[in-house]
Amino acid sequence: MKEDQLTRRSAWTSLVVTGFLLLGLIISSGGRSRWPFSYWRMYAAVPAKATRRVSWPQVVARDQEGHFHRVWPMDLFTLDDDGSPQPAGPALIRAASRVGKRQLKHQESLVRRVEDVLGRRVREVQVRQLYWKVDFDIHPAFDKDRPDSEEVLVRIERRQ
Amino acid sequence: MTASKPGLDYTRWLIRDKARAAGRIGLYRVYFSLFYLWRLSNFHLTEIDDVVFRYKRPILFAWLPEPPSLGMLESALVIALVFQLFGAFTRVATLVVLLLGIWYDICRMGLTGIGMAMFLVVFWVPVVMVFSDWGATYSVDNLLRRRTNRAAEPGDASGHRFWPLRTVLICLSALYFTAGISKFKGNWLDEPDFIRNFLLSKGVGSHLQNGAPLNPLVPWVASQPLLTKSMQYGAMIFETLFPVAVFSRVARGFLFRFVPMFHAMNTFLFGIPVVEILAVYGAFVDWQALLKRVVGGRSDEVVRRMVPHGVAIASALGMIAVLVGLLWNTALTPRLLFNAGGLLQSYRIWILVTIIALIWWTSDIVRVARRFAAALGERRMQQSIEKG
Repeated sequence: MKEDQLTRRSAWTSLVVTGFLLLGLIISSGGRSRWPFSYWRMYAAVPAKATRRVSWPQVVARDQEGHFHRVWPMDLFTLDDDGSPQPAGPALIRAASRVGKRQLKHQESLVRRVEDVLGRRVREVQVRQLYWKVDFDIHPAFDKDRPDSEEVLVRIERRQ
Repeated sequence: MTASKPGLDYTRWLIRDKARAAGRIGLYRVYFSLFYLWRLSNFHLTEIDDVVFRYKRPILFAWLPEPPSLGMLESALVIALVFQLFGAFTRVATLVVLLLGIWYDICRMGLTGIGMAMFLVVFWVPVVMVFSDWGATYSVDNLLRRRTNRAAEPGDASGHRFWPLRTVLICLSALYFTAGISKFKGNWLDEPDFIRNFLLSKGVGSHLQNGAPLNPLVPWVASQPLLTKSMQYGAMIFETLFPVAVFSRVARGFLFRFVPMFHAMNTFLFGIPVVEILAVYGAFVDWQALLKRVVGGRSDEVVRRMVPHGVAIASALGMIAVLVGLLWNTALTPRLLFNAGGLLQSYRIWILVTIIALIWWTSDIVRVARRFAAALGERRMQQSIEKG
């Protein structure tokens, strides 16, 4: 194809492609469910209160030899990218802790994920909720590995 | 004289010639494919099989079925990406990367919810590049075309090769603009201590959610109203005015220098490393000039030597592509190659980018200072001549 033909064709293609993508963004009105034509909201509206007390779940697994292993929700899945709020782990932990008709299935999922992460079979999995006081006058503001208190939400015995 | 139509002017801008256009976009293909493979190397799609809950899908893709096998989808995407990396049947490979990439990410969203970072990689770049000829240089396609003398040279400046990169810039500007106006609509202007509180709460939240380290500087930064107000209004102005980069070369130069620092700040202070943005920024780097600076004319010489063995090289690279895909989920996995054995993580990448950005800034400052000193010296000399 000659150079001027290529240029003419590119002119049309560039306009159509650019126009299509921009139009997609405009008419989608930007909601997250309109992916990939969603607006890039980037923390446009967040509950902005300085935290003084935080709480986060953790999984504690007892293996066949009786040793305990602590697993953070973020370590349960690789599919959350390493920078996001990583909702998958906490979502599975919540589902496994909440009484409901599919609770048993979620608990089985959680045990499978924990075993996969630890690379060994476990005998029992506990879901715990940890609590910390946050003090910004010192560094670190809290120690993730030393919670002020913790409570066991649910104990899951591995089904053989 | 007829008045020019704005639409036509804009089309002319899109397809205007650009120095080293063919080489730039060809090398960007290599960069983008490597970035994509690195990102995928950290994800194990088969984890979805372990879980019964599913988040809601985006409306446009609610109809999309589950793939017959998640592992097969993963392997097929990787094979297409390696073909794209090598520039073999590039247009077909890019189309497959676009379609399988979307399918892959839709599946991933079932577990993680609808994400707003990977869409830059799986959709916004490939959807433009499908219409480009980014396989024209530094590719198997180029080697094969050389046999019939139809191959492009990296120095080719034709605008029809460069428009996709300008379209990517327009799309990125539009996305930034939506980020800016969303902040005006959100609570960024309503809360007087917005950034202060956001800094403190988000840093702590990120530490728990994704393991971002607690930055000892955060409480101090949060206590400085000048800094927090600058960050608050600076982010809003930067994002809303980003489209100016499309129209002004000066603004583009300024914004591109600011961008790495903006994201590095988000990473180190808030624990929000949107590393996928780097897949897009690669489009605006003059890779061809960088390559010439590093290897000189040796790359052309290497390509010339490869031409007689084009078919053999193409076959070998094709086999490598298939092999990488097939081994993706095995014990001896090529994933380790792409993520450097787990060393390549978002935080480390941002540290590297920050260092590069600082070197860039410093070299700019030194250059400006030298020019200023030279101009000052010249002026003094002229004054002394006039006095003399």
